[in-house]
Amino acid sequence: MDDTRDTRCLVQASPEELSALLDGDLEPARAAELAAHLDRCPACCQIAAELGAVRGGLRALGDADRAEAAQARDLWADIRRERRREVRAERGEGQAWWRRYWLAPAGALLGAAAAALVLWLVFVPGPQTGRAPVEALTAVLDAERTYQLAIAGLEGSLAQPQAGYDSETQRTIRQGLADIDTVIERCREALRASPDDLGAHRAMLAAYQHKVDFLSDLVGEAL
Amino acid sequence: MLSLIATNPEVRLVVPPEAVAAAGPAEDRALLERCRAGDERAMQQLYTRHAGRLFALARRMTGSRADAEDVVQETFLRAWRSLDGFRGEAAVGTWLYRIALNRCRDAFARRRPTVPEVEGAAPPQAGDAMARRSLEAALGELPEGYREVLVLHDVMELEHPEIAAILGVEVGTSKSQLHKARSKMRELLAARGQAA
Repeated sequence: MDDTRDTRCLVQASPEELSALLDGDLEPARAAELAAHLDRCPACCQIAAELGAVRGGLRALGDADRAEAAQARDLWADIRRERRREVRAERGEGQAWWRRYWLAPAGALLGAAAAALVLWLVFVPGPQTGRAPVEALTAVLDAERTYQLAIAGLEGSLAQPQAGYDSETQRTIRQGLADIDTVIERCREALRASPDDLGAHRAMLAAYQHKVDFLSDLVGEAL
Repeated sequence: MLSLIATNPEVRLVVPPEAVAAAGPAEDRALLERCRAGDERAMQQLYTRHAGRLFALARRMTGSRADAEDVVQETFLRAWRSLDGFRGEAAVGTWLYRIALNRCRDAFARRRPTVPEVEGAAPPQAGDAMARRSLEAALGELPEGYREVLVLHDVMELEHPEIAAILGVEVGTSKSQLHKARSKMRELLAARGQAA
């Protein structure tokens, strides 16, 4: 195929014009003239067919691109994280104070608390309720103290406006933390009534773990 | 993701283009106003509504999935940074396309693809007239202006008024460029012996 037109062609349609004809972009009179010409001119007809094939092939590429886009990675978390970092930098905050002072030690404390909990659950199995052995209670109290310290740090960090959440999200976060605190407070009440109740300690540690997971997620999102 | 609060069902990369079109630019504009008021979830909704189309554009313009992801991310970051600069003279979607196209130009200038990658995508469907890879290679050889208008019209299936707004030209110029670009494509494919 080359770009030559039928030299006997009096209408002398250009490929650009034939492309415009395909899309309906020509004035009606010219479109009618060219349409009639195509009936008589195999060369121009061939060019028009090739241009139509180009258009059809590109549309098929578009269909494939849209199918690929539907499977593309969700970039929103990356975008939000980068924007939050930019905002902090624009405010001249650099690395937020709570990140400097709290994240590393809080992370270490969380790891220690989680390890203590796992060890306790593995090595001191027992009934869900009942009298706890002294060793188990000591381990539980140590884990509780570690959790409380880590949670206090994480809560302090997230109370800062730098966390960057919109008001609706902040309300949801506060409600989620309040719900967990309600459970913890009920456990405390049970332990005040029966300090060595193993079931109450288990429930309290589970609540702490839930809160730690929640706060860790928040910190992870804020980074 | 947040285990307790990130259960937003709107979080998907792609919203079908017809759904965006049906919702119209008015909803985009309302979301943009909420973004300006500091509502992060509104920006997330704009992302959800437009990321798929922008990815498809960037994928075709850069020839690379990784570059396309970079373009989409940078597009939304730039849009987020310049919310106050959006004067509303164009639709939000057009504005995003314009930003993305500029990012594509940068990416393409950095790494001009000869034969774009074919990675995990739907199977080629252009075999009726010519091979997909020949089409992609010919697209990569087009001058930038031709490639842009051809991708926006024939691949992305945008109308000329929106293309003109994205490219900052008259509608007539968009049409004229398209037909020249399509004609050039035909020549390039003929040179490759791939034309019908």
